[in-house]
Amino acid sequence: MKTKKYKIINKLPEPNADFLEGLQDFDAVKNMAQTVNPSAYKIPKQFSVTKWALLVGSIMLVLVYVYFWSNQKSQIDTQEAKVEKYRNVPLKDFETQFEYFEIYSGKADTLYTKSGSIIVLPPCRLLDGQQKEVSGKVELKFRQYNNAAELALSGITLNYDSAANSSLFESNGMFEIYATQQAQSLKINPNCPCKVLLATNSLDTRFNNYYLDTSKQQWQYLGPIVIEEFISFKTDESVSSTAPPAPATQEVFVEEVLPSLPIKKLPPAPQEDNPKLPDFKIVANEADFPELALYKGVLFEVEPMEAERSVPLFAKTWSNIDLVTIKSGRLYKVRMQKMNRSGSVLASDSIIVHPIVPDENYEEALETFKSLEKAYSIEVREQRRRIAMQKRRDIYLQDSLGRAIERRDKLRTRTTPSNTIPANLDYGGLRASFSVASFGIYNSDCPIQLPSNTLVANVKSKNNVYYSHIYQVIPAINSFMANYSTAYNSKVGAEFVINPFYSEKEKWFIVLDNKSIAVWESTYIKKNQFDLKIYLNVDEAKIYTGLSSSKDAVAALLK
Amino acid sequence: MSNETKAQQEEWQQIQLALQNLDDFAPLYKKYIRPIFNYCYHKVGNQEEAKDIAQQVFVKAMLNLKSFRNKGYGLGPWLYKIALNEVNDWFKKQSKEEVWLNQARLWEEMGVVDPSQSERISDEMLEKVLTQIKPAALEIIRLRYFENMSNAMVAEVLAISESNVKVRLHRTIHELKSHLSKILKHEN
Repeated sequence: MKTKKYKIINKLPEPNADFLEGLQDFDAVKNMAQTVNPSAYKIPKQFSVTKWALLVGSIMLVLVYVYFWSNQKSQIDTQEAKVEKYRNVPLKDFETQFEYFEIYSGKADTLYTKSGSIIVLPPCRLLDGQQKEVSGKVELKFRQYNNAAELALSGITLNYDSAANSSLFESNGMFEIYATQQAQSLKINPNCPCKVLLATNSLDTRFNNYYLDTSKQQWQYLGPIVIEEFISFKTDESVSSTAPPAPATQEVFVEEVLPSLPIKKLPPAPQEDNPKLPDFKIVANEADFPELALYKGVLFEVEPMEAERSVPLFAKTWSNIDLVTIKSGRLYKVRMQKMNRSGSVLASDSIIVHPIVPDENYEEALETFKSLEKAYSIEVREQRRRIAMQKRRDIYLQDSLGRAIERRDKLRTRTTPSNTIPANLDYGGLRASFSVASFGIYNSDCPIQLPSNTLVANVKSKNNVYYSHIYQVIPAINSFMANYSTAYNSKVGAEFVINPFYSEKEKWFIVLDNKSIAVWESTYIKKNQFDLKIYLNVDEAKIYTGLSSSKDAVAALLK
Repeated sequence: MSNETKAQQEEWQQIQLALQNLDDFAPLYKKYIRPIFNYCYHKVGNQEEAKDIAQQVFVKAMLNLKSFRNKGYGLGPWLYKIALNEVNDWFKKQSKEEVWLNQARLWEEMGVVDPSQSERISDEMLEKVLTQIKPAALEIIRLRYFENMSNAMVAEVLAISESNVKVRLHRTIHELKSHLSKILKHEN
């Protein structure tokens, strides 16, 4: 702390009159001012704490903003960046290209992708990195991987670990979806997920939905396959053999069979007063007996058979009276109890009554009933229409599913197509439905237990080229495996520990450079469980050079 | 228009005239020389030195009148600001002690001491207390109570916010009070 010395005094001597007069001499001071060098008397700019605080504060604010902005950018980019880290792309820039869509945050939309899948966006706003809702134009990108080669080139592992069991995914179709606004990645409001209806290779129920959880570095099980149909009411019954064109009419998304609506019971018609029968009033709770509140001044009339018996009951004093509806809905039971002070029941009885409307209110009650009856008949008609429609849809969905299963069987016997056009993916409008609560990678998969044997493959070449990965493409199950080298020996080559997979269509490949791959046909690879080593010579592989697009690479791997 | 506003307006007109002709600074000089002298005198404790410093303040003021910005408090706070810097420069050059008046009335007014205690405060006690308080905080006390300035004017002189003046004033009084009571207790 800065300290100062102080001289404490009780009183300073007052200046005398002469001194004070001299002090008032302005001319002397003016002369001084006129004779001195003005620059020597310049008042230095005052150090303003407020100004400095403001300046420092604003600099800090700018720095904090820049920090958070960059942090936010890095945060929001995390999902896509994390996926990028997770990939082991064999060939750079040979992945399936994204398809871009322009959407508006908060506006419901239906997007039709080239691969036949449909993205259904709810009218919910997307969120930025700070969970704030964004508005305006948004760029949505989507890509789909359908065959083993595309999956292999995506570099996303299909290995799946569940309960310490390692397995390989048989993929039924995988997709990636992201959204950006002004180069900033956005998130989906988890309370309002969008829906992707994926055109898959199969609609077999053994497939499940998975999401690539990049934080846990594993596939997350979402649930079994959900088959849904996307139809428009106008083209309701017609099944297109190709992906539907952009909708010209209003689309209706049928999520599930329509639930039957509960129809409210029609309240009983008002009854007139019978002067021969005794009647009385009970104030009933409106919430418990809403039907009694429909008509004005409702009274209760004793049932004819109870009339005689009821007379002495009215003469008595009861401690407790309550009302109960009898199942018929038209009659009520009035229960009466007489209790002593301690609460013990001394006597009890009951009579059956029905509600009546006094003469002065009867006409009005009848009008009310007529209007209720009209609404009821409309509701019944609507319900019947819905039930009929539901039945039609059930039949239609069953038929579609049957057709889909037939087609699937045909497809599975077909050889895998040699181009990137998805392999039909047309199942009478039926698709595998994914509820997309966050952007990223989703897969329709079926885990396949890997054989327990482990083979060691050696890849040799004349030149000392370092091969870090060997890929197995397994078109039969639409899958691939990536194996990583454990060591590289200039004499032996690269050594891989691999999980074998027995398949006639299997192909193995390594990447020679950015545009060349060496591929071994499955017939070349001799495997048996006794000889645990296989040797792959690059000279004996089929070399594909000058690959220029993902189509070329896919074709090379699926030929 | 209130008298205060009218006086300020007249002062502003006077400043405008003084900017044209230095002779017109005379009324302003006559108005402020005594308070500025008193302020310097109460700090340095010497009439001649205080007179010199006060005159320096006015020389500077006359030469830098163009840089004066009217913030609604008149020329006073600006002159005090110059005086404060001049006095501080003087202390730096002279390495002398600052003078503080042991005025029981002011300590009572501030609520630092009870009337019953004020008589017991010796110069040594006060010196001990003052050396424990930050000089900047004491400057607020001096301007507010010894020079009878408003919080807003103190804020203008020290180039801090009015609320800051209030807070610091409150804290300083509290500090003075607690130090003094400790010392008094110790004396007992």
